[in-house]
Amino acid sequence: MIDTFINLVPITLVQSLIYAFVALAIMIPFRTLALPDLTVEGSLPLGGCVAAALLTAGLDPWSGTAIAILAGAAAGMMTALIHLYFQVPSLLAGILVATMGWSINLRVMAMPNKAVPAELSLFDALSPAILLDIRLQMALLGALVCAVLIGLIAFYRTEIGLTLCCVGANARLAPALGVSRRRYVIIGFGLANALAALAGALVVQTQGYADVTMGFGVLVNGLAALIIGEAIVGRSTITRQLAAPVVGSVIYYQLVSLGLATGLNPSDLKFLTGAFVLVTLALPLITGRSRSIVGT
Amino acid sequence: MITASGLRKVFNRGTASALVATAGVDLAVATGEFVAVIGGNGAGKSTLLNLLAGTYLCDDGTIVIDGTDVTRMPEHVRAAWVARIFQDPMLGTAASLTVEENLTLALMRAQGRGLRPALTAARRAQFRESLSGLRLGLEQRLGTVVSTLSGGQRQALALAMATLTPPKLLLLDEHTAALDPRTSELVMEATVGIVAKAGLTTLMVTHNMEHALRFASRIVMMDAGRVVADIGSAEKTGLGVGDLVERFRIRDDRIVLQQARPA
Repeated sequence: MIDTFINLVPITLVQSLIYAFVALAIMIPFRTLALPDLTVEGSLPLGGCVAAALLTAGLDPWSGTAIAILAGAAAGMMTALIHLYFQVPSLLAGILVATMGWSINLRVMAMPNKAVPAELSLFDALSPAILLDIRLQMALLGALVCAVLIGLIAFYRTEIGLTLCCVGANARLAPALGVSRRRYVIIGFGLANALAALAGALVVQTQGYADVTMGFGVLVNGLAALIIGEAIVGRSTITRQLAAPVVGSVIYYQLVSLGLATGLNPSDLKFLTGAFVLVTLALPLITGRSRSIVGT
Repeated sequence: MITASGLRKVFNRGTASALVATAGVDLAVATGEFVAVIGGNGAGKSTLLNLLAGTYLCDDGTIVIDGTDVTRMPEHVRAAWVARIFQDPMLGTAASLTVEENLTLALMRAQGRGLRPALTAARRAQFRESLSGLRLGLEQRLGTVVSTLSGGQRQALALAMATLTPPKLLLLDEHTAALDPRTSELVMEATVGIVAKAGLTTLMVTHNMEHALRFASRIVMMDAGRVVADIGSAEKTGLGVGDLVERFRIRDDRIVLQQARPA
């Protein structure tokens, strides 16, 4: 049983590095804007399906992936606009966009799932050796996650990044300091869902197919990863806050893999993940501590 | 020069609970003037401040700041000229950010924002200098998260934030009311010091008649959404708290209590 787990460590790591982008996409609106967003359930499959459709239609993988990322950003901005202009709660706005995205994905691919041959992928365009060697995949995705993380840390240290945090820290103060809250919520949601769409495009190009159902459950997985990461890394500085979802994702998917290897029924997984998130939400209330782990 | 004319604001307009908050306020404030706005509860003082800040847009009337008509400008655009300190110390600062991050955000109120590094050595030096003027020791605590500061320190920080770049109009919304008497005095003295040094045009809503008499160069009294009295500095001399209360027959519990307290 443990052998199975150990054999699966590399492939799980590759998976977790890709889903680290989803955990980041959940963290950014939730923590830095104090506005929870569910759009990732729609923007991840949107990124995947757009990439699959474009790549199989003959577009080069670089442009295909870039357009997939932009599609995700557009989905996030749509959620933000619905929330800001129609005063729909951000969670509901995200559900609306994710639900409508389902139909869009079916239109984009013209079928519920689509094979993406390895030779069309970004990885093959870099080097045909990558998809054959799990170590190269680990190195490449590890480097990509690190680069994005460093980029995000740098971004949050700029004036615009700090302003994003201000909108989340004190929404009433922001306009008094000359900050258009709307503009920054749109930026934040766009950025987050661009990352989720990137994850979708990478999933499709590693596993070799896109499926309209690929977003189901990613939100709770990402939330669980975020909670684990924050418990380990903390969130006292913006660097820690940004590193937490990445660390959490790597650990969460290994835990899931360990559970499955030791006989956990895969169909019970969503229940257990949900229960885990629920317990971490409820624990501070049950034990009477005033500060919730999730929440502000 | 700040000119407000005919400012009218009605809440819940067209419903049974319609409330006329300001019923046509006319007020001209000369550059460098320190105006105290007094009046009973519901007189429209806070609404006037919110209208000037752009938190609400007025239903009627115009607001002109140094020749620029800002009437239709939303709050975040007007913030380039108007700075504000709230009554609640929790509102005026971002609690989860550090002192220097809050000051950087305040600096960008006038300068705008880009993809430049937010915190630089030059900015830290500037922050240290402006905080040391407050004499509250905040200059040693640039990296401290604001939620760990006391109410008085947070209000002092809010003061530093509002005046880091001198605004064309400084709005003080009972900014010492939530503090204990001693801290209230400290913050008030720091405020007056900065206002005098920079010659800031200031509008201060207060229930503290003694502060109004001692610090303001002009006292404006509001009632039922209008300016009902306007006392210039010459007329103000020699007036006591009791005179003010008697003169305006202020029906405000808080003011009466302060008057009853022995000096």
